[in-house]
Amino acid sequence: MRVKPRFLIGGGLIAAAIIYLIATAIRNTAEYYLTVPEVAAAADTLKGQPLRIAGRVKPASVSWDPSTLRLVFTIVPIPSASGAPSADGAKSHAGTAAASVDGVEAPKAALRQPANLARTRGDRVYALAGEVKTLLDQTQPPNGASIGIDPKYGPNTGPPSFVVICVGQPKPDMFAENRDVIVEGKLTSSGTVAAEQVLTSCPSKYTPESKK
Amino acid sequence: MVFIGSFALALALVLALYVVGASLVGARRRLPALVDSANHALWAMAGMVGAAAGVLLTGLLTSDFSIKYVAEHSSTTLPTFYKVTALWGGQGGSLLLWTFLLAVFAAVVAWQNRHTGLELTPYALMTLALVATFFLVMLNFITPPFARVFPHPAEGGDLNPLLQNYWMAIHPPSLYTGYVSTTVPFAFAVAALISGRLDDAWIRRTRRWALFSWFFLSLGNLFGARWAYEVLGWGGYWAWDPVENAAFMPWLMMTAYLHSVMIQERKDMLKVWNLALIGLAFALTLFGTFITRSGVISSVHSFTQSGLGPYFSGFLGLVVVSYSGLLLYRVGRLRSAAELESFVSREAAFLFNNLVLVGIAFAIFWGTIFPIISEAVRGVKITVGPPFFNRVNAPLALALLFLMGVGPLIAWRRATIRNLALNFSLPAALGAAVGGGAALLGVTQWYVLATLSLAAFVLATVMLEFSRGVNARRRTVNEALPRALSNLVAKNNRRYGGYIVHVGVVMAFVGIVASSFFKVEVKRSLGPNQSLDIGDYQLKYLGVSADETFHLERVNARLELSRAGRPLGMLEPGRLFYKLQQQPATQIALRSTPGADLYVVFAGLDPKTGLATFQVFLTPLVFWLWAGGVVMALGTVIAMWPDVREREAIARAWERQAMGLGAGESAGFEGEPF
Repeated sequence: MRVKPRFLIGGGLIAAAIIYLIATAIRNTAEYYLTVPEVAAAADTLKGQPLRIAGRVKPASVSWDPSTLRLVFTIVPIPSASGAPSADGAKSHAGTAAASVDGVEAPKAALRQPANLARTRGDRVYALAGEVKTLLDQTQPPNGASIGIDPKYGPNTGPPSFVVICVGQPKPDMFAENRDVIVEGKLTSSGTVAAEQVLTSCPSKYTPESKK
Repeated sequence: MVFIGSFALALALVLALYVVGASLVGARRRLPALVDSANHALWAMAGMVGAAAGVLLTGLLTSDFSIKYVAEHSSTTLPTFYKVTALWGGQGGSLLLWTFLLAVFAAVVAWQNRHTGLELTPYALMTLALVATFFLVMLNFITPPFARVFPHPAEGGDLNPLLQNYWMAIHPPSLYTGYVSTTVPFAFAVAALISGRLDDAWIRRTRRWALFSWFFLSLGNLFGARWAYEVLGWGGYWAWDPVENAAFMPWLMMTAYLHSVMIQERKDMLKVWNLALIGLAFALTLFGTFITRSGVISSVHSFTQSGLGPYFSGFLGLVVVSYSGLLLYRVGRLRSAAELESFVSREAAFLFNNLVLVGIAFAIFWGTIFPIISEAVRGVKITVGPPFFNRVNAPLALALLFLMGVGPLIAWRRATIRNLALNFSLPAALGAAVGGGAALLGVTQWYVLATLSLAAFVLATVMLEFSRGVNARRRTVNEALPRALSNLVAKNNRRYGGYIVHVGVVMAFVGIVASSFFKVEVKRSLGPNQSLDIGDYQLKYLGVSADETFHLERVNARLELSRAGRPLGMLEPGRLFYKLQQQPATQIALRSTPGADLYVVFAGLDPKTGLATFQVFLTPLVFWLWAGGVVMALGTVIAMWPDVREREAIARAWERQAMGLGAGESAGFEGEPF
């Protein structure tokens, strides 16, 4: 079929309108889908943005008040299933093993020394081994790498976590301690997550291999 | 017993490979006997897959836990009905069901086309057998449904409670039937491309299959929506979940295809477009399966996740590349004599309808895979939820509704002002009146006003068509009204069946728009004898009652329902606990009327305070979504109804074609025993 130019233009206009609709809708409705460590790493820039956070309900952190429909719990990282030693939520770089330093049991995080900090990533948890020197020395780190340790997810305080507050929704059926959840909501300036909805994902429940 | 199942699957694979080879060689070398033997092999293959499905079903019914699949998806306490449905409750079984349907459809195609010569059919059978080969390889080597477990457990793991529902008994088979039957028109499209017979023979021969597929895709989507509505307990029926989208996209493609092939049949236009559409529809069914099973996109409906993703994406890639290659190879011969003359014509209206449908499918596809794309491109997973899909699709859906009113009445080629005035002045006036009336009654949302107005417009065009047809019959054949109506539909079943489908779509539209805009939700915890209000309904919580079977425990809340002081009986939403899976579930209470659905979820019972939490939805007009579905199904059945005249016309066309091929050859083929 030979097509006259004006029909090509007409069809093109419709296609352009549809693409415009898609583009504006994505810009206005997109939500970041992040894990708990990812949120922790970029907490400052994410405040107030619509987020979907995937994490796990921390044991003994749940409080539920049925009269006000107020659900409060702490969300912690989901241990990665890839076999990495990350029971406490930190993903480790491949090839680096957890170690104990000076008799202190280090968390199962990637062990780094000041000399190899250059290849670290902001959203990971590392154990830093070395000797603490004077402040003067620290202003000139080797390789030009600088490091800021947030005590919130430093080796001694465990993995990053957030307090989630969800008001006005019934507690989901499958909600329980240690269950994987997706929290939809916003990170408030006080560092808690104001959730509009808590979704329980069905983790390994249906894959028979992991059935206990 | 189990050995028979595995053996049948192995044999089916061998037979499928034979069908591929024999049909190809038979068609190329023009050997009718070889093509015949391919037909027989195809029937044998269907028998083998059927036998395998029978063995698995027997294993489920007899709770033979030495079969891993049975041990994982069934239990001795599972009601018999759900033991049957457990056949598609897991990976291996649902693939087996899929393959079984494909084998049966292929066998039926072979039977229907056993006298239609060597031009198209053998290539179509080859394509069907190739697709079957892929699934049989999966079943034989990747997820064998007859894998054993040793030592076998005394009790099975039970079927996922969410699947223990009668909608789940009919939703997957319907959807699978719809998915799988798109393979038939696709196979004939491939046959047309390979053989170079590029007229509309492939379309005519598969018209009913395309409708069949559309029918089951529609039902599958509606049943799935209904399942979500009744079982998931969130008061809605559609959440733009990836798996829902995956089921919806082939439906959109088939809808576009069913409309655009009419243009090819009438005007010999849009040839490449039609071939592309059916290819996309088939590819999207594979994409849907890939999404459901691979787990690359998380979804509430992914009950059968596994490592099948790479195989499906590989096969999908192969299909897309080879089909595009075929299409490119033939594109030079697919030129059409006719061309589009005016924007204001039926051809253009159908073309716009196609663009909008494909646009909707593209938007949904984009939204569905957006998390993957954004993660790959920007390193951040960005999801888009229902707001995205609603925002994009709402205006497109309105455009579609408008075109649905325009398409059937506008003149072919070029509509004149007179034609437009004659056909559209009444519907347009009615649409404007309804929209204006609704505005006066206080509806302020422009989207609702537009929907109501366009719905009235479309209904008026359909009524106009019916009344014109009936009046013509009453005048010329002098029939009474009911008889004129039934004869009109019977003698033009394609056309009027289509109009009835349109009425169903309008009803569903109104139901969807009203339930999205005017849903009211109340969430509250109540102590005994406290009550809550929603709309003019009042629910008073009396207390709970508990019962127990050996399969599950149930706690029911007793709620006394009244409306404006008038008692309307009891509602008893429940909370269930499935013992084997150690999993809670909710059982909603529903009071459905054409005006509104009252939907009550018993969301929790606090052991400390004794407070019962309820989530109550009052959803206006959602009834019409389901009613519209029934009307759509009815219209499709009418359009599919066997038509003697059409069959004779096709038979004559085959004869002409056979004569053209050479009398001796075709006579020999016809006379071949089978």
